[in-house]
Amino acid sequence: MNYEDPRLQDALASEYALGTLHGRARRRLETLAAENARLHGRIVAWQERLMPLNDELMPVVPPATVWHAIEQKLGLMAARPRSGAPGSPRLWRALAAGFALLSLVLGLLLLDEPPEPVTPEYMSIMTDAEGTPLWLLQMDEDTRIMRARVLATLQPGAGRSYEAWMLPADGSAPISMGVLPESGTGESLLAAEKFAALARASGLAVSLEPEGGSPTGQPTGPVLYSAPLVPG
Amino acid sequence: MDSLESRKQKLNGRLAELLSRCANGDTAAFRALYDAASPQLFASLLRILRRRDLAEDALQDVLISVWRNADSYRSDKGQPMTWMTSIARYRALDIVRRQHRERNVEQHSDDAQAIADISGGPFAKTESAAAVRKLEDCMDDLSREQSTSIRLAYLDGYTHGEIATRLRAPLGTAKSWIRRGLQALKDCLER
Repeated sequence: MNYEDPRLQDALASEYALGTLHGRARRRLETLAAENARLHGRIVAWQERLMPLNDELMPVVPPATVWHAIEQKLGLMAARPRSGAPGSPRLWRALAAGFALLSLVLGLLLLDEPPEPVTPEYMSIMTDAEGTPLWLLQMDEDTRIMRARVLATLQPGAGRSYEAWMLPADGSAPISMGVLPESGTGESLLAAEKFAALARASGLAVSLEPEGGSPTGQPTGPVLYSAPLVPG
Repeated sequence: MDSLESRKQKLNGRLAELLSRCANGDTAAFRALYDAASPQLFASLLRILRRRDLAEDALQDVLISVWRNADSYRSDKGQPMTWMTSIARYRALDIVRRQHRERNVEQHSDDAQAIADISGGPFAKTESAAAVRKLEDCMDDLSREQSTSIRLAYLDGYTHGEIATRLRAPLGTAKSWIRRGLQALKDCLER
Protein backbone atom coordinates (compact mmCIF):
# COMPACT_ATOMS: atom_id res chain seq x y z
CA MET A 1 0.00 0.00 0.00
CA ASN A 2 1.20 3.49 -0.74
CA TYR A 3 0.79 5.30 2.56
CA GLU A 4 1.70 8.62 0.94
CA ASP A 5 -1.57 8.58 -1.03
CA PRO A 6 -3.54 11.40 0.64
CA ARG A 7 -6.87 9.70 0.08
CA LEU A 8 -5.70 6.47 1.65
CA GLN A 9 -4.14 8.42 4.52
CA ASP A 10 -7.37 10.27 5.14
CA ALA A 11 -9.49 7.12 5.01
CA LEU A 12 -7.21 5.34 7.49
CA ALA A 13 -7.06 8.41 9.74
CA SER A 14 -10.85 8.67 9.79
CA GLU A 15 -11.36 5.02 10.77
CA TYR A 16 -8.61 5.33 13.37
CA ALA A 17 -10.28 8.38 14.93
CA LEU A 18 -13.67 6.68 14.81
CA GLY A 19 -12.26 3.64 16.61
CA THR A 20 -12.95 0.99 13.98
CA LEU A 21 -9.32 0.20 13.24
CA HIS A 22 -8.24 -2.74 15.37
CA GLY A 23 -5.30 -4.84 16.37
CA ARG A 24 -2.36 -4.86 14.05
CA ALA A 25 -3.88 -2.36 11.62
CA ARG A 26 -4.23 0.15 14.44
CA ARG A 27 -0.70 -0.42 15.78
CA ARG A 28 0.74 -0.13 12.28
CA LEU A 29 -0.98 3.19 11.73
CA GLU A 30 0.23 4.47 15.11
CA THR A 31 3.80 3.53 14.18
CA LEU A 32 3.47 5.21 10.80
CA ALA A 33 1.93 8.34 12.30
CA ALA A 34 4.81 8.67 14.78
CA GLU A 35 7.13 9.19 11.82
CA ASN A 36 4.81 10.81 9.33
CA ALA A 37 3.75 14.29 10.38
CA ARG A 38 1.17 14.60 7.60
CA LEU A 39 -0.57 11.38 8.60
CA HIS A 40 -0.42 12.44 12.26
CA GLY A 41 -2.01 15.75 11.31
CA ARG A 42 -4.83 14.00 9.49
CA ILE A 43 -5.55 11.80 12.50
CA VAL A 44 -5.70 14.79 14.84
CA ALA A 45 -7.94 16.65 12.39
CA TRP A 46 -10.36 13.71 12.38
CA GLN A 47 -10.29 13.45 16.16
CA GLU A 48 -11.21 17.14 16.40
CA ARG A 49 -13.94 16.74 13.78
CA LEU A 50 -15.63 13.92 15.70
CA MET A 51 -15.05 15.42 19.15
CA PRO A 52 -18.45 17.26 19.29
CA LEU A 53 -20.15 13.84 19.30
CA ASN A 54 -19.06 13.60 22.93
CA ASP A 55 -21.55 16.35 23.75
CA GLU A 56 -24.23 13.69 23.39
CA LEU A 57 -22.88 12.04 26.55
CA MET A 58 -23.95 13.35 29.92
CA PRO A 59 -20.88 13.99 32.10
CA VAL A 60 -20.73 11.73 35.17
CA VAL A 61 -18.73 12.67 38.27
CA PRO A 62 -16.68 9.60 39.23
CA PRO A 63 -16.67 8.39 42.86
CA ALA A 64 -13.93 9.77 45.13
CA THR A 65 -12.40 6.29 45.31
CA VAL A 66 -11.00 6.80 41.80
CA TRP A 67 -8.97 9.82 42.84
CA HIS A 68 -7.79 8.12 46.01
CA ALA A 69 -6.56 5.14 44.00
CA ILE A 70 -4.71 7.42 41.57
CA GLU A 71 -3.05 9.25 44.46
CA GLN A 72 -1.95 5.95 45.98
CA LYS A 73 -0.67 4.45 42.73
CA LEU A 74 1.36 7.54 41.92
CA GLY A 75 2.46 8.01 45.53
CA LEU A 76 1.25 11.62 45.42
CA MET A 77 0.35 11.58 49.08
CA ALA A 78 1.28 9.62 52.17
CA ALA A 79 -1.04 6.66 52.61
CA ARG A 80 -4.30 7.69 54.17
CA PRO A 81 -4.80 6.65 57.75
CA ARG A 82 -7.74 4.41 57.14
CA SER A 83 -8.13 0.71 56.81
CA GLY A 84 -9.17 -0.94 53.58
CA ALA A 85 -8.11 -0.09 50.07
CA PRO A 86 -10.11 2.94 49.03
CA GLY A 87 -9.40 2.21 45.39
CA SER A 88 -11.14 -1.12 45.37
CA PRO A 89 -14.50 -0.95 43.61
CA ARG A 90 -15.50 -4.10 45.45
CA LEU A 91 -14.95 -2.39 48.78
CA TRP A 92 -16.92 0.59 47.59
CA ARG A 93 -19.81 -1.58 46.62
CA ALA A 94 -19.59 -3.49 49.88
CA LEU A 95 -19.78 -0.14 51.66
CA ALA A 96 -22.86 0.80 49.68
CA ALA A 97 -24.46 -2.52 50.58
CA GLY A 98 -23.49 -1.96 54.19
CA PHE A 99 -25.13 1.43 54.15
CA ALA A 100 -28.18 -0.11 52.60
CA LEU A 101 -28.57 -2.56 55.46
CA LEU A 102 -27.77 0.05 58.06
CA SER A 103 -30.32 2.45 56.66
CA LEU A 104 -32.95 -0.24 56.52
CA VAL A 105 -32.37 -0.92 60.19
CA LEU A 106 -32.43 2.80 60.93
CA GLY A 107 -35.59 3.12 58.90
CA LEU A 108 -37.25 0.45 61.00
CA LEU A 109 -36.10 2.01 64.26
CA LEU A 110 -37.06 5.56 63.36
CA LEU A 111 -40.48 4.96 61.91
CA ASP A 112 -41.86 8.45 62.14
CA GLU A 113 -44.30 7.82 59.30
CA PRO A 114 -47.53 5.84 59.62
CA PRO A 115 -46.44 2.20 59.47
CA GLU A 116 -47.62 1.22 56.01
CA PRO A 117 -47.00 -2.33 54.86
CA VAL A 118 -44.35 -1.31 52.37
CA THR A 119 -42.71 -4.21 50.60
CA PRO A 120 -40.21 -2.46 48.37
CA GLU A 121 -39.41 -4.26 45.17
CA TYR A 122 -36.29 -2.16 44.69
CA MET A 123 -34.28 0.08 46.86
CA SER A 124 -31.28 2.27 46.60
CA ILE A 125 -29.16 4.31 48.96
CA MET A 126 -28.00 7.45 47.28
CA THR A 127 -24.70 8.49 48.80
CA ASP A 128 -22.29 11.32 48.14
CA ALA A 129 -18.76 10.64 46.90
CA GLU A 130 -17.59 10.05 50.45
CA GLY A 131 -20.26 7.42 51.07
CA THR A 132 -22.52 9.54 53.28
CA PRO A 133 -26.12 8.36 52.78
CA LEU A 134 -28.31 11.16 51.39
CA TRP A 135 -31.57 9.48 50.42
CA LEU A 136 -33.14 6.11 50.96
CA LEU A 137 -35.23 5.29 47.88
CA GLN A 138 -37.78 2.48 47.90
CA MET A 139 -40.03 1.42 45.07
CA ASP A 140 -43.06 -0.69 45.83
CA GLU A 141 -44.35 -2.84 43.03
CA ASP A 142 -47.96 -3.13 44.14
CA THR A 143 -48.53 0.60 44.43
CA ARG A 144 -45.76 1.68 41.98
CA ILE A 145 -44.89 4.34 44.53
CA MET A 146 -41.35 5.52 44.92
CA ARG A 147 -40.74 6.76 48.42
CA ALA A 148 -37.71 8.92 49.11
CA ARG A 149 -36.53 9.54 52.63
CA VAL A 150 -33.91 12.21 53.22
CA LEU A 151 -31.03 10.97 55.39
CA ALA A 152 -28.85 14.07 55.49
CA THR A 153 -29.06 17.85 55.43
CA LEU A 154 -29.41 18.92 51.82
CA GLN A 155 -29.01 22.33 50.26
CA PRO A 156 -29.58 22.36 46.53
CA GLY A 157 -29.43 26.18 46.44
CA ALA A 158 -32.13 28.70 45.65
CA GLY A 159 -34.25 27.89 42.62
CA ARG A 160 -32.75 24.40 42.32
CA SER A 161 -34.14 20.91 42.76
CA TYR A 162 -32.64 17.45 42.96
CA GLU A 163 -34.04 15.12 40.34
CA ALA A 164 -33.67 11.33 40.32
CA TRP A 165 -32.96 9.38 37.12
CA MET A 166 -32.95 5.74 36.23
CA LEU A 167 -29.97 4.73 34.07
CA PRO A 168 -30.92 2.06 31.51
CA ALA A 169 -28.28 -0.67 31.36
CA ASP A 170 -28.17 -0.41 27.57
CA GLY A 171 -26.76 3.09 27.80
CA SER A 172 -29.83 4.82 26.38
CA ALA A 173 -31.05 8.13 27.74
CA PRO A 174 -31.81 8.42 31.47
CA ILE A 175 -35.46 8.22 32.56
CA SER A 176 -36.77 10.73 35.09
CA MET A 177 -37.95 9.35 38.43
CA GLY A 178 -39.14 12.71 39.66
CA VAL A 179 -37.92 15.48 41.91
CA LEU A 180 -36.53 14.34 45.27
CA PRO A 181 -37.50 15.89 48.61
CA GLU A 182 -34.93 18.09 50.38
CA SER A 183 -36.15 17.13 53.82
CA GLY A 184 -38.44 14.52 55.33
CA THR A 185 -40.09 12.05 53.02
CA GLY A 186 -41.58 12.34 49.57
CA GLU A 187 -43.54 10.00 47.36
CA SER A 188 -44.10 9.84 43.66
CA LEU A 189 -46.18 7.49 41.55
CA LEU A 190 -44.22 5.81 38.77
CA ALA A 191 -45.95 5.03 35.49
CA ALA A 192 -46.24 1.30 34.81
CA GLU A 193 -43.68 1.40 31.98
CA LYS A 194 -41.21 3.27 34.17
CA PHE A 195 -41.59 0.69 36.88
CA ALA A 196 -41.05 -2.08 34.35
CA ALA A 197 -37.92 -0.31 33.08
CA LEU A 198 -36.38 -0.54 36.56
CA ALA A 199 -35.73 -4.21 35.87
CA ARG A 200 -33.35 -3.15 33.08
CA ALA A 201 -31.72 -0.27 34.93
CA SER A 202 -28.06 -0.35 35.90
CA GLY A 203 -28.56 2.19 38.66
CA LEU A 204 -29.94 5.54 39.70
CA ALA A 205 -28.47 9.00 39.52
CA VAL A 206 -29.31 12.43 40.87
CA SER A 207 -28.78 15.65 38.96
CA LEU A 208 -29.17 19.28 39.96
CA GLU A 209 -32.00 20.89 37.98
CA PRO A 210 -33.99 24.11 37.89
CA GLU A 211 -36.66 24.21 40.60
CA GLY A 212 -39.40 21.68 39.88
CA GLY A 213 -37.20 19.47 37.70
CA SER A 214 -35.65 19.40 34.26
CA PRO A 215 -37.66 21.39 31.71
CA THR A 216 -36.53 19.09 28.86
CA GLY A 217 -37.23 15.63 30.27
CA GLN A 218 -33.50 14.95 30.19
CA PRO A 219 -30.88 15.94 32.74
CA THR A 220 -29.72 19.50 32.09
CA GLY A 221 -27.50 19.97 35.16
CA PRO A 222 -24.52 18.06 36.50
CA VAL A 223 -24.92 14.51 37.77
CA LEU A 224 -24.07 14.78 41.44
CA TYR A 225 -24.61 11.29 42.78
CA SER A 226 -25.24 7.80 41.54
CA ALA A 227 -25.96 4.52 43.24
CA PRO A 228 -26.78 0.93 42.39
CA LEU A 229 -30.33 -0.32 42.50
CA VAL A 230 -30.84 -3.45 44.55
CA PRO A 231 -33.82 -5.80 44.76
CA GLY A 232 -35.71 -5.00 47.95
CA MET B 1 -22.91 34.70 21.74
CA ASP B 2 -21.92 31.12 21.64
CA SER B 3 -21.57 30.28 25.29
CA LEU B 4 -20.86 26.55 25.06
CA GLU B 5 -18.21 27.16 22.42
CA SER B 6 -16.47 29.85 24.43
CA ARG B 7 -16.74 27.72 27.56
CA LYS B 8 -15.03 24.89 25.70
CA GLN B 9 -12.27 27.16 24.50
CA LYS B 10 -11.76 28.43 28.01
CA LEU B 11 -11.72 24.89 29.35
CA ASN B 12 -9.13 23.80 26.79
CA GLY B 13 -6.99 26.84 27.53
CA ARG B 14 -7.11 26.08 31.22
CA LEU B 15 -6.41 22.37 30.63
CA ALA B 16 -3.36 23.22 28.50
CA GLU B 17 -2.00 25.33 31.33
CA LEU B 18 -2.73 22.59 33.88
CA LEU B 19 -1.02 19.99 31.68
CA SER B 20 2.15 22.04 31.49
CA ARG B 21 2.13 22.41 35.27
CA CYS B 22 1.58 18.64 35.59
CA ALA B 23 4.67 18.14 33.43
CA ASN B 24 6.59 19.98 36.16
CA GLY B 25 5.21 17.69 38.84
CA ASP B 26 2.56 20.10 40.21
CA THR B 27 0.10 17.77 41.98
CA ALA B 28 -2.39 20.55 42.75
CA ALA B 29 -2.63 21.19 39.01
CA PHE B 30 -3.20 17.48 38.47
CA ARG B 31 -6.08 17.49 40.95
CA ALA B 32 -7.63 20.49 39.18
CA LEU B 33 -7.20 18.75 35.84
CA TYR B 34 -8.85 15.64 37.24
CA ASP B 35 -11.83 17.64 38.50
CA ALA B 36 -12.24 19.46 35.20
CA ALA B 37 -11.81 16.56 32.80
CA SER B 38 -12.83 13.36 34.56
CA PRO B 39 -16.66 13.66 34.34
CA GLN B 40 -16.55 13.76 30.55
CA LEU B 41 -13.88 11.06 30.29
CA PHE B 42 -15.83 8.88 32.74
CA ALA B 43 -19.01 9.30 30.67
CA SER B 44 -17.17 8.12 27.57
CA LEU B 45 -15.66 5.13 29.41
CA LEU B 46 -19.01 4.16 30.93
CA ARG B 47 -20.70 4.28 27.55
CA ILE B 48 -18.15 2.01 25.88
CA LEU B 49 -17.46 -0.35 28.79
CA ARG B 50 -20.98 -0.43 30.24
CA ARG B 51 -19.70 -1.54 33.59
CA ARG B 52 -18.99 0.87 36.40
CA ASP B 53 -16.16 -1.17 37.91
CA LEU B 54 -14.35 -1.42 34.57
CA ALA B 55 -14.93 2.25 33.83
CA GLU B 56 -13.59 3.30 37.23
CA ASP B 57 -10.45 1.20 36.77
CA ALA B 58 -10.00 2.52 33.24
CA LEU B 59 -10.40 6.12 34.42
CA GLN B 60 -7.57 5.56 36.91
CA ASP B 61 -5.35 4.19 34.15
CA VAL B 62 -6.20 7.07 31.82
CA LEU B 63 -5.44 9.77 34.39
CA ILE B 64 -2.22 8.06 35.41
CA SER B 65 -1.23 7.96 31.76
CA VAL B 66 -2.11 11.67 31.37
CA TRP B 67 0.06 12.54 34.40
CA ARG B 68 3.00 10.50 33.14
CA ASN B 69 2.75 11.82 29.58
CA ALA B 70 1.88 15.41 30.40
CA ASP B 71 5.38 16.47 29.35
CA SER B 72 4.82 15.03 25.87
CA TYR B 73 1.58 16.94 25.28
CA ARG B 74 1.89 19.58 22.57
CA SER B 75 -0.78 21.52 20.77
CA ASP B 76 -0.15 19.54 17.57
CA LYS B 77 -1.65 16.54 19.39
CA GLY B 78 -5.00 18.30 19.36
CA GLN B 79 -6.89 20.27 21.97
CA PRO B 80 -6.18 18.98 25.50
CA MET B 81 -9.69 17.55 25.87
CA THR B 82 -9.40 15.82 22.48
CA TRP B 83 -6.02 14.37 23.44
CA MET B 84 -7.31 13.05 26.76
CA THR B 85 -10.55 11.76 25.23
CA SER B 86 -8.51 9.82 22.68
CA ILE B 87 -6.42 8.23 25.44
CA ALA B 88 -9.63 7.25 27.24
CA ARG B 89 -11.41 5.91 24.16
CA TYR B 90 -8.51 3.74 22.98
CA ARG B 91 -8.05 2.45 26.52
CA ALA B 92 -11.73 1.46 26.62
CA LEU B 93 -11.56 -0.08 23.15
CA ASP B 94 -8.52 -2.13 24.18
CA ILE B 95 -10.40 -3.43 27.22
CA VAL B 96 -13.54 -4.46 25.35
CA ARG B 97 -11.59 -6.07 22.51
CA ARG B 98 -9.33 -7.97 24.89
CA GLN B 99 -12.32 -9.31 26.75
CA HIS B 100 -13.90 -10.46 23.52
CA ARG B 101 -16.90 -8.91 25.06
CA GLU B 102 -20.13 -10.40 24.01
CA ARG B 103 -22.15 -7.33 23.66
CA ASN B 104 -25.80 -7.87 23.53
CA VAL B 105 -26.00 -6.29 20.13
CA GLU B 106 -29.16 -8.19 19.28
CA GLN B 107 -30.93 -6.70 22.24
CA HIS B 108 -32.36 -3.96 20.08
CA SER B 109 -32.92 -5.96 16.99
CA ASP B 110 -35.53 -3.59 15.71
CA ASP B 111 -33.71 -1.20 13.37
CA ALA B 112 -36.01 1.74 13.92
CA GLN B 113 -35.72 1.36 17.67
CA ALA B 114 -31.96 1.03 17.46
CA ILE B 115 -31.74 4.21 15.42
CA ALA B 116 -34.16 6.07 17.68
CA ASP B 117 -32.15 5.01 20.75
CA ILE B 118 -28.94 6.52 19.54
CA SER B 119 -29.86 9.50 17.45
CA GLY B 120 -29.46 12.44 19.74
CA GLY B 121 -28.37 12.27 23.33
CA PRO B 122 -29.33 14.25 26.41
CA PHE B 123 -27.58 17.41 25.35
CA ALA B 124 -28.04 17.04 21.62
CA LYS B 125 -30.72 19.68 21.23
CA THR B 126 -30.60 21.66 24.42
CA GLU B 127 -27.33 23.50 24.05
CA SER B 128 -26.14 25.33 21.03
CA ALA B 129 -22.58 25.74 19.94
CA ALA B 130 -21.21 26.36 16.52
CA ALA B 131 -19.04 23.24 16.28
CA VAL B 132 -21.62 20.99 17.87
CA ARG B 133 -24.45 22.36 15.78
CA LYS B 134 -22.41 22.14 12.61
CA LEU B 135 -21.50 18.50 13.22
CA GLU B 136 -25.07 17.77 14.22
CA ASP B 137 -26.40 19.36 11.03
CA CYS B 138 -23.93 17.39 8.95
CA MET B 139 -24.82 14.17 10.79
CA ASP B 140 -28.46 14.93 9.97
CA ASP B 141 -27.53 15.19 6.30
CA LEU B 142 -26.25 11.62 6.28
CA SER B 143 -28.53 8.68 5.74
CA ARG B 144 -29.86 7.32 9.04
CA GLU B 145 -27.85 4.14 8.55
CA GLN B 146 -24.67 6.16 8.05
CA SER B 147 -25.16 8.44 11.05
CA THR B 148 -26.27 5.57 13.29
CA SER B 149 -23.24 3.49 12.29
CA ILE B 150 -20.90 6.39 13.04
CA ARG B 151 -22.50 7.01 16.46
CA LEU B 152 -22.37 3.30 17.34
CA ALA B 153 -18.69 3.16 16.43
CA TYR B 154 -17.64 6.43 18.07
CA LEU B 155 -19.78 6.56 21.19
CA ASP B 156 -20.37 2.86 21.89
CA GLY B 157 -17.10 1.50 20.55
CA TYR B 158 -18.80 -1.01 18.28
CA THR B 159 -16.79 -2.91 15.68
CA HIS B 160 -17.87 -3.12 12.04
CA GLY B 161 -19.18 -6.60 12.81
CA GLU B 162 -21.20 -5.48 15.82
CA ILE B 163 -22.71 -2.63 13.83
CA ALA B 164 -23.67 -5.03 11.06
CA THR B 165 -25.32 -7.34 13.59
CA ARG B 166 -27.19 -4.60 15.35
CA LEU B 167 -28.45 -2.97 12.17
CA ARG B 168 -29.02 -6.34 10.53
CA ALA B 169 -26.92 -5.66 7.51
CA PRO B 170 -24.14 -7.57 5.76
CA LEU B 171 -20.66 -6.67 7.03
CA GLY B 172 -19.67 -5.06 3.73
CA THR B 173 -22.73 -2.84 3.83
CA ALA B 174 -21.95 -1.67 7.36
CA LYS B 175 -18.37 -0.92 6.36
CA SER B 176 -19.47 1.13 3.41
CA TRP B 177 -22.03 3.08 5.50
CA ILE B 178 -19.14 4.10 7.71
CA ARG B 179 -16.66 4.84 4.95
CA ARG B 180 -19.11 6.85 2.87
CA GLY B 181 -20.63 8.46 5.94
CA LEU B 182 -17.25 9.72 7.14
CA GLN B 183 -16.40 11.06 3.69
CA ALA B 184 -19.75 12.84 3.41
CA LEU B 185 -19.30 14.23 6.91
CA LYS B 186 -15.94 15.72 6.02
CA ASP B 187 -17.29 17.20 2.78
CA CYS B 188 -20.18 18.75 4.67
CA LEU B 189 -17.99 20.17 7.45
CA GLU B 190 -15.67 21.75 4.91
CA ARG B 191 -18.47 23.43 2.98
